[in-house]
Amino acid sequence: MGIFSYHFMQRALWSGILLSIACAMLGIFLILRREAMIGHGLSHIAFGGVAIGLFFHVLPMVTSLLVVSVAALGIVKIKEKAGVYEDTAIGIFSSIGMAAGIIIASLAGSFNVDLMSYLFGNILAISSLELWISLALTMTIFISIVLFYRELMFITFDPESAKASGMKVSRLESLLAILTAVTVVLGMKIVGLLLVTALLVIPSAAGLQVGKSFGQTLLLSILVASLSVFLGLIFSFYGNIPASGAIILIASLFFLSLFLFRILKIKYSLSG
Amino acid sequence: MNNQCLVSVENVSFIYSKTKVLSEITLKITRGDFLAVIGPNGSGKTTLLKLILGLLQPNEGKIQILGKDIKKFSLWNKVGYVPQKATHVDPFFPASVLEIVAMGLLSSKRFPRFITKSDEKKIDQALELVDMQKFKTTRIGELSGGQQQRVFIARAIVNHPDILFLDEPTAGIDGASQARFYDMLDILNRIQKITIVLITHDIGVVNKYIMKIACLNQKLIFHGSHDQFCQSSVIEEFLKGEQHLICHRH
Ligand SMILES: Nc1ncnc2c1ncn2[C@@H]1O[C@H](COP(=O)(O)OP(=O)(O)OP(=O)(O)O)[C@@H](O)[C@H]1O
Ligand SMILES: [Mg+2]
Repeated sequence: MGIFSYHFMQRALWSGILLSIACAMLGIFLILRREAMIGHGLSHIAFGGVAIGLFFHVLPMVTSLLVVSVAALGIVKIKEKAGVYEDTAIGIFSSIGMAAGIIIASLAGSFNVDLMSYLFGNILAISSLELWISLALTMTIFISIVLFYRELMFITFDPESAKASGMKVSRLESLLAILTAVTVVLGMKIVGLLLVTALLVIPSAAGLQVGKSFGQTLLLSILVASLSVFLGLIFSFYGNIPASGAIILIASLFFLSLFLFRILKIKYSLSG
Repeated sequence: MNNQCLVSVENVSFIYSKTKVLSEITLKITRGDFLAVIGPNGSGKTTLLKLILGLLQPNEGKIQILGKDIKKFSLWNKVGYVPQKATHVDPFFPASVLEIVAMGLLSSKRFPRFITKSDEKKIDQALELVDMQKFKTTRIGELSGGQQQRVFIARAIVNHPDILFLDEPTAGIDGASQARFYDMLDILNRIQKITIVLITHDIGVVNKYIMKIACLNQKLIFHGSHDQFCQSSVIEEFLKGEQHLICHRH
């Protein structure tokens, strides 16, 4: 494979695969909790966070991590305490983030180019530092999910019984929200805010088509996610197309194939 | 250990937004009891159970479980719970029967709660008790409602709890399966010595197994043994002629 002899391609491959694994692990919980759109909402909020960072000349990753984490916890708490539907809470928070972002961006028009790079990401321009940051964040997510795997599965399947089994449901929900916030911020540099939602949803949705158990579904999602990054980078290199777009389209193809596979399997077992 | 009070509900009242659902309930559940909680729809049966399990907080009164105030209670592995409408399972949820029953073990484990080989043995035993070991690797959504209900019972008893709460566990289960189901509860109660609290509408079935009855309709109308229940006059009107179903001994 000649293309991965370039350092920038190696960094792209590793940061992309790490991000996609984090997304796949979180995505399955988010989808089953009907929270698939939280990534979408948080990415809008991250946009506001980036604008704040650029405006005050602070590292945008830091400001957006702060803003997004607070918003993610806010969404969980509002749902819990005020009985607002989760998607409504997401809608409210993301609109505020987007509105703030637009206003701050227009107040100082000079950083519009920078802002664009966060919207669309640039996986081929990942620095070594950013690669190390992604490694650290992905490891955090990976270890958290492994340690709390069964509890997260329990609160996702049946929160009430989980609570009556002494599980700390609200703390675990906050953990999930924070991990998602971290992932969104991690993803904005790599695939961009507009596409990080896709990585949170599509590989896991693909795994859900055929997984027979939770563990199997999780592994399948991770496989789909990392294969999409790998193939997406190859297509982008040789076809000279944007990497993030290629990655997401390939993930979608995986989803479509597994979906068709499931449908055909049902049909076949009905007629045969 | 006999006559030990496992659950004590003292003067408990509960209000949902504005309507009073439970009013001044006082009730003790003793070790070894097989208690049926009956009452019409909306009489507060599920609410009472949720209060006992700490899922809701009472507006007035005190609740103790296994000798501890519910707010400070932590021995969740001694308590089994099969919620009402447990059968409303997301048909696409990708968990196997094994993974569902494993959830029941978490309360008896310390962090990090990994499932070991000896845990799998416990899961096998629980599945055997409810006669579902064949379906260990099946996805929960691919089972029938009655089979799912058995899996939830396996999850509730996998820790060998001291007390098992079941909220209308046989709703939507066919007659033959229901009879087998109650036989199973009877075995859990008499042989495994698990105290059972059963919310039910099948008062016909209650007759054969139940030792004690609690009759709820916002207030606790009756609480006592089966025989006392049949001699009581308060409940005649309450059951509207169905009393013979419970009190006719075979
Ligand atoms: N989440 C809620 N919000 C407001 N009121 C509620 C809520 N849940 C239950 N109620 C009310 O509380 C009362 C008692 O409900 P509960 O579920 O305890 O009844 P139940 O005896 O279990 O009935 P069923 O036999 O139908 O299961 C009902 O009148 C119901 O309208
Ligand atoms: Mg009920």
